[in-house]
Amino acid sequence: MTKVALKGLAGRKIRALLTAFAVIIGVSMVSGTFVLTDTMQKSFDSIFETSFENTDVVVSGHQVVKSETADIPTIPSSVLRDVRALPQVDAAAGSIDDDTAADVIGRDGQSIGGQNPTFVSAFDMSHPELTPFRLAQGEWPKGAGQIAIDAGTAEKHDYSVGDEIGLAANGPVRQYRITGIAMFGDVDSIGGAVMAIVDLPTAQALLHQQGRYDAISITAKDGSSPAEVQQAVQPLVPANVDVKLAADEADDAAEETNEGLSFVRIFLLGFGGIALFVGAFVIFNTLSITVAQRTREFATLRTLGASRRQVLRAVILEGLTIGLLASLVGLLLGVGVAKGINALFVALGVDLPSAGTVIAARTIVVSLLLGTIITVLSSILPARRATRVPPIAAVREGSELPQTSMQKHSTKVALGVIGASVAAMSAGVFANALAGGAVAI
Amino acid sequence: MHTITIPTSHDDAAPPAAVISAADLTRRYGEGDTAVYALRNVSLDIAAGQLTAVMGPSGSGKSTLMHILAGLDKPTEGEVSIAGTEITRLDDTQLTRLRRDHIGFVFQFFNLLPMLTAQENIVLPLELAGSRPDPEWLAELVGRVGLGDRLKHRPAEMSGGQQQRVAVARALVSRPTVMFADEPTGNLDSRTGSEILALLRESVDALGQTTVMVTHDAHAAAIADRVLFLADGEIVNDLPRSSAHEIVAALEGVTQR
Repeated sequence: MTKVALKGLAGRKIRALLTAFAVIIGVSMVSGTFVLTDTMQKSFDSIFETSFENTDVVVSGHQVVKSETADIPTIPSSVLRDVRALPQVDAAAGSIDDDTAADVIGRDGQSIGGQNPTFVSAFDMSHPELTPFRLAQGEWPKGAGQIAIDAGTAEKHDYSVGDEIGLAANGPVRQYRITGIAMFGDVDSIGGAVMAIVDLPTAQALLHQQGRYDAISITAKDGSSPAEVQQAVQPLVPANVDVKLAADEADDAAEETNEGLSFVRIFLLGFGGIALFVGAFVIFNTLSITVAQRTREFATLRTLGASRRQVLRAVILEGLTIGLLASLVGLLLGVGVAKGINALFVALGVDLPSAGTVIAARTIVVSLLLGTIITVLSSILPARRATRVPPIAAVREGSELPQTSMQKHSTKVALGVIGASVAAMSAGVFANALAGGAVAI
Repeated sequence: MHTITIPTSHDDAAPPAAVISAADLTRRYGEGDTAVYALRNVSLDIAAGQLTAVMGPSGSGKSTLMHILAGLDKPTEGEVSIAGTEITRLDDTQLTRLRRDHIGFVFQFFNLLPMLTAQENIVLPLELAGSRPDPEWLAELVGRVGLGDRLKHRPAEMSGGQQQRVAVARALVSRPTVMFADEPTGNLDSRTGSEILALLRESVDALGQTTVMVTHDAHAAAIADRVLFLADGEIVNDLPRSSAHEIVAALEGVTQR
């Protein structure tokens, strides 16, 4: 009976393919969403991990009033000196991060960042391990006129070590020589942001904050807990400055991105769900039609000794086979969908951090189960109908049901439904990409 | 394979044991004044090891009779027993078991499964019943129906005659108590029809296969050991083995009644 079902299915390849198509689309949306968001998640995790890998306590100013324009308080260098003097502290480094004042200028004299933020970052080059930055090529900048840029920008705008690039902050454009290409952990670029790394004195001069830092990263000495360091540092800082555990900072940051990512995930999964819902109807319809067309075949099987259960299983086996194969194809296609959505983001100028493609076990399990179960469920009713074919239909003349006009056009109808759903989904994905991009930034 | 309950014989002449007994079969469609009778009070015994032909003009009830004898349809009144089992009140599961153990079918339109090869079609009843074909029996069967070189072919690659040979082998493979043939030559030209008839006759003679054949073809009925004539839902004539001429004459008598 297995043979009858599978060989029969093989004999109706076109129809099976049409049926499978709807499931393939739905499953690929689901697996694509998982792959995309997992990949983004891993990238963010990698950034946070790198940022706080060696840092135990972070000192930073906090905005009293939350607003775009209000200046975040800076930290005088005397604080850094005091922190370093503490017995619980192994290393401490000041850093500067500013995304309001600077613009990186390309060869054409235009801003490279455009709509995307441009950061000027500076840190204690003797302690790069206290920052999220890792050197991909060359050296960290030293002294005026030297700069390092992020690998994403370098690649996109074709800059390499030794080239000159413009930087303007609170004044005219000046040319800097690129000494290094930097990455964030394992990630080339964060959301298309442009990173300009200069040394501390250069940044302080550019941003008019001589002798002041935006943040201080601290490593505890062996034997001292981060909490002890936090307690020791707290009395040394002004009231408008926070002393936080790096672990808490990492959690906060991760939580923020997780919220954004789960929004993207739910949004995209919704479209996968719609596609699978449509798919379920297409399968139900096609299987119903093939069952009606095979009345004589099922009746013959019954006269040869097939039980109702065997007939039921044969039709469900068809559904299972279609579902499993379609889900497998959809799963693989989903990797492509993830890349496609990513490319769409890039085309919109919204680079997502990418650190290799992540295909989690959950993606595989959920995609295969979802596609297969939905297909099997939609085959149950047609299968039950097949069991109700009376054996006597095998000897009745004309027991092959005449085609109704609906059935005659069923292929066209199915194609139409699929086409419409593809169009709807594409539109949805596009809209989502925009919405998702806004969330990711 | 199958134990056939042999009813005690009536006298010393020991007529062939009946494997199918039908008593007072009535098949009525509709109720009251508009009721139409396909069968009226038909009683008959089908003898083991014989080929019984059922003839009659269309609408005579011959197909209905076969459907009821084979458990495909239920009589409005009356009983049928096959190999000692009363079948008219069996449920679907019991009927499935009955078909597996006792019944083989040959159809007018062959009813082979198009996706299976000849060999796969032949052994399908055994596979459905969950048993394995006995290779020796299968080889003998294939030899008898003359399909040796066609076993890997699908129905679409075979002539009508070849397809019906496959169908006969499929009906015989489970060594059923009775084989029902529904107009087995109705969709074949006369030459291949004759070949199929010879094959049916041989399966009765060599294998002792009890067979019931519904036909409207006098030449087909001429190979039978017994020919039943139906008209208006009743058995109106019952001939022993007869020539085609005799059968045509009897049929004319039936039709002009």
